[in-house]
Amino acid sequence: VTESISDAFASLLSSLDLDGVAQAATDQALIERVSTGAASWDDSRELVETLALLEIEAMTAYRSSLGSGEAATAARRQTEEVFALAGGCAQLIAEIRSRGVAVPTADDDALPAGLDLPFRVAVSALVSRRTSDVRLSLDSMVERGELVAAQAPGHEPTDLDWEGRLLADTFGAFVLLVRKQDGWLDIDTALEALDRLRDVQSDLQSDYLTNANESGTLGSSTARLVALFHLAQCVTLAGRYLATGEGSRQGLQTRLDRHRDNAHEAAQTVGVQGGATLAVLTDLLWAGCRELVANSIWSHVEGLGDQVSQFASLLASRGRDRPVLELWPSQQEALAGNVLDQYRRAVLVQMPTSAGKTLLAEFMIIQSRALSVSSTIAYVVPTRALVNQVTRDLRADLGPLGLSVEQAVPAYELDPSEQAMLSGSAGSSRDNTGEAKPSRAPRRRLGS
Amino acid sequence: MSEAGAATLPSEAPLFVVAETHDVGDHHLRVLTPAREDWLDVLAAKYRKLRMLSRHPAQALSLEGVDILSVDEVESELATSVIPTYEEGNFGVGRSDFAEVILTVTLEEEYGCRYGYQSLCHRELRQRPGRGIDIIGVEISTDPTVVSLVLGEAKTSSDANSPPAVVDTNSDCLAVQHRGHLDNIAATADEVWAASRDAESVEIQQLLRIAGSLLRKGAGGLRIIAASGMARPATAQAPGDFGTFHADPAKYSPADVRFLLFRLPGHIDELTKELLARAAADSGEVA
Repeated sequence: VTESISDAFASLLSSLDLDGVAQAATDQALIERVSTGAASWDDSRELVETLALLEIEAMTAYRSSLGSGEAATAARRQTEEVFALAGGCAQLIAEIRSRGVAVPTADDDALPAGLDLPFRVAVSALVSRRTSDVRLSLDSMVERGELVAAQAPGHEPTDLDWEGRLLADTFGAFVLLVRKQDGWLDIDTALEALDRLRDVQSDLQSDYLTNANESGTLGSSTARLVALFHLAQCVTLAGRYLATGEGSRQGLQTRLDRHRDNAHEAAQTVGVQGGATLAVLTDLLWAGCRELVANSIWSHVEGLGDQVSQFASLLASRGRDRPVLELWPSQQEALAGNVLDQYRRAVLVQMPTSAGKTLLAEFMIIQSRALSVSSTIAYVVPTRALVNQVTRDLRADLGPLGLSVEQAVPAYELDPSEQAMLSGSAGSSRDNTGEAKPSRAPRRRLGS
Repeated sequence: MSEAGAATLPSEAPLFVVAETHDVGDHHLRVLTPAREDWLDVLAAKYRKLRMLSRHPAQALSLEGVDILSVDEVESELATSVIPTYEEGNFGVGRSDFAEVILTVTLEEEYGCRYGYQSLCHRELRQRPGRGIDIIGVEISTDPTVVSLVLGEAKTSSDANSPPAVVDTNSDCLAVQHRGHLDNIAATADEVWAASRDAESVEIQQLLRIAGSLLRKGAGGLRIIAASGMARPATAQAPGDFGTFHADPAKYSPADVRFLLFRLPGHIDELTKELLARAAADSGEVA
């Protein structure tokens, strides 16, 4: 019966008309009530239920997206869309809660207080590739010190049993790894919290198991610990990878998959006392850890040679004001689209301003130099101000690798309107929208 | 103590068979009788299993790959833990539980119903919102566009009247209970969501949540089943026992009626005591 339910589940989920059910995610009136502080308990309940439903749909799509082919690509697109809605719901719920309105929880406070929403926002952001958009929200939702149980050795919380401590530090550490506030500080705090678990394990675990034995729940409690051990291991693996880049992405994700499977099996053993909820949290955390690894800068430079890896290490180094620990979605997409393919004669990258073109160019420079040590690379920009800015950036990033960056600018510079007047085309250049469009200034060549 | 008894469930042969059918359209009104000699033993084993807090042997769990924590103590517990484990006083069975376990088994065997909240196995959680409905379950039919939400109530009755008072007359009779669930959709949807927390698997939890939301929104794709189980001694059972559920099933609209009447040999109280004795004896507890 279980197998038939599982088989029928995906079919049912795709057949049922759930759009209306999950409409709260895009209900402008509800969003307006939240933003003006007029949201009610019913509003928050609707959002909580919508969030749970969206997570069901998103995780079903996510599992389908791990395959290959067009179906997997479509599933990935759906995953991102639905998780984006789920993340929006979680942020709205957090907004309501921040205004002092009581909010029900779908999972009966399975996670320690204050951690449920940041965790869900973090997972949604990761999978929907909106991490940079929600960092500020995560900052405002919770303080660093609130995300992990112990601030420092010797300052252990007294209100958490072993299970509560595992939950708090595992899921809190995960949120920190996603947030990356102050660069390495969040990552270091997360890994330290996970490391400290072993220090307090013997004391807390003995009491926990003794209590479970006395209350007759030893079997399910032990199974719960097994699940949480695997989840803590997942977050640790992802965190260590972010910190060091050691190991291959594929190998790491295989290990994450194995820990997820073992945690899931343990959650099933927990059974009717919260096992299903634990399994849902397991899946969300697993998906989040997979995405943490995938987004990491290290996974994108695998196989690109020592110099590119060295450059990545430099970008992520602790000495930088703003270490680059993960690439933006646009950059990931470009790299996944073989922008560094050495066999291509020409590559055109078109991105909006501030989408990360310069970093991509730096990767291309590094790779070009690795392939041809004596090569000279020209980086052409349209204005004098940009020449100065790019020169400064390239020197900062490439100088430590031994590359010399020089700038060359013309003696004079025309601005676009001057150019248009001189060429007699002022007022005559129109695009097909009928709007005036300035002519471009001539490009200048920079030597390096 | 062994798991052998529980492991025999669900048995190949059904525990109850339909002896009479009084269906009205899509409304099922049926009389069932025990199908096998050992029905009470199997029922006791099922009851034991429902009272278990764990569904799978913990010994098989793996801690492979965990190196950030010491696994020795937990591995030791896994190796020595005997599943199923029971809480002290598990078998305080009453007449209502007796009917509930019969209904639970039959809905699962006959209809493939899967459960979220069951007051039987969550007795210690009676304060939860789900306590108002004995059984909350879901079924998937061959039509993949429809999920069925089962709202189950169970009773026993040795009442000589037909229908007995627990069907249509008492303040907490089946008719009042079911009509209450259907009249207060918001509260029922809340209970379905609450029940999902205690579902036996992720899939069932998710189905319950979908069903709860469809119910709340009045959306399509949901079939509501008002399931009733009533245990009756064979000597008291009579054709009119279904009461309004048979005479006017439309009264329970929008739900479809599913009334299963269990015609049992002997006295209900004696059978209840026997069930307790057999369940406790098998578990090592003193009845």
